[in-house]
Amino acid sequence: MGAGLVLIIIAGIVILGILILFNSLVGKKNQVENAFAGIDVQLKKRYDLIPNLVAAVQKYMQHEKSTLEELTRLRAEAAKPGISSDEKIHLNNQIQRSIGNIMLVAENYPELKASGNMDSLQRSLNEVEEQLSASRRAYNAAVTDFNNAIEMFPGRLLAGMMGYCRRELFEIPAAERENVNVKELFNS
Amino acid sequence: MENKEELYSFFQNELRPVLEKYEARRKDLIRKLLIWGGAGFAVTAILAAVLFAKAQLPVPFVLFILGVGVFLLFIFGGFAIKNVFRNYKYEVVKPLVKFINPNLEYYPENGISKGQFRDSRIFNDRIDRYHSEDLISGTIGKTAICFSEVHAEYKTETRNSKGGTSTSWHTILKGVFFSADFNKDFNGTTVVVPDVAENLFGSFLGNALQKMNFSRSEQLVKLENPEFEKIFAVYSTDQIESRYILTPALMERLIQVRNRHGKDFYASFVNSQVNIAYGCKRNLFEPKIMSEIVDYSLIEEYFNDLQDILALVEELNLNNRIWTKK
Repeated sequence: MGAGLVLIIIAGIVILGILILFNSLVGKKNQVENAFAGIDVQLKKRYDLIPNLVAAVQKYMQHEKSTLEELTRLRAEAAKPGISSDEKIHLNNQIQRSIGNIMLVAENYPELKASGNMDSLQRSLNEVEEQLSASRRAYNAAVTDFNNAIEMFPGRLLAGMMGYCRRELFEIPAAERENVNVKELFNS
Repeated sequence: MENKEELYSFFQNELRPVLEKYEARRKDLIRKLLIWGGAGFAVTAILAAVLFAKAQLPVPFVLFILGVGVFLLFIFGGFAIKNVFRNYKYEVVKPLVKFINPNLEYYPENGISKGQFRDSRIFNDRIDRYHSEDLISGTIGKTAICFSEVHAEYKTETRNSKGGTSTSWHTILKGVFFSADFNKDFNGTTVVVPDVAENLFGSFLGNALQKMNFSRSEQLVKLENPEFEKIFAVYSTDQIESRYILTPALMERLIQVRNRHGKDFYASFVNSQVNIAYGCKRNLFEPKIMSEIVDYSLIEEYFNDLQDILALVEELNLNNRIWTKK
């Protein structure tokens, strides 16, 4: 009994603390990745809906043929394996805008609107958008949690050694935050 | 949903004759209770006096006999009151419910089952005593709903110094339990409960405490609305699904509903159903034995209580069916 034992106990507590902290940081990093995968799942669902959307509307929308072709092209590009996250986000922002335009234009075609097909497509698209926004928010919550953990004491000390750095939140591009300009849409 | 003028004419034309019948019965009952009660009390008192004077019985025994007499009178009176108002809810509240919405059915003696209450996952306490009445079910627009009054309790037993045990009952919920078909499909469980920890200890320490909440098997969900986070703690089996359900708009709506009903407010989302529970001290849809029955304000009170609950469908926007669930 003596100073030696006390030292061993203190060292044990410190090591245990470091282990717990290490594991919690890894857990938070994995949660961020998991949440990003959640977004991916929803993006995949949206890609799957695009061919149906194009098939449903192309008979009616002869004038918007270029918009439809553009959408098909974007989808093919976004679904390619091995593209970077940034590219993927960028492509998907374009896809979202493009689908939004088509849905707006579809309002002008009463026969199209009346077809049950369009109704279920509209529902599916709403569903995917709602799920996407939920996944984005879950991702942002996981990132905030992770950033807090690596910037606050004592996580800060360990995070540097583990090579963890701040992650960026998933933000909607400025162009999408603005309200859609309907007039401009119909002039183009 | 009808307005107040229509309610008044409904009261005058439909309910007044029924209420007058009950008013006559009530007056009759009070008169009988006074006569029989007085007579019964007098008989017991004389009996007690005779026993005391002639048989020389000790005072505590005589008092005991008096007590038994009064107790029996109360029991008898209670039965008499119940008997007079036996069909009151069928004849008064049921038509009122139909008047508000013909798609609703009222079952005065039924309630939300204990199983359904437990499966809402709102309360984790063991339920030792459960009573539920005044079930209303039906559809509003596209949404199937049901709700009832619920009183759920658990008990604790403490051993006293003499070795005996004393039982005390604690209320889990006394109030309204509302369940409706939610407008989106989901598989997991998401529970919204009042936030005790964050209110007491602030957000940093409070969050740490919420995370350690061992009574809940679900994970803590941190949402972006600061006002919502201050009032509620959210636990869910699925981080993404909980956000799919609790959209920024629904969070705002829940804050408003909760502010109307008070602190004792809970919600859960299970099996594509939304459950709302809130505390309410009054016993709903009851007649009042000591005051006039033909009273518009009483009917108005029932009406307002009903509308308060039915308004949840609009307030939570449950008829908005733009997703894959129709």
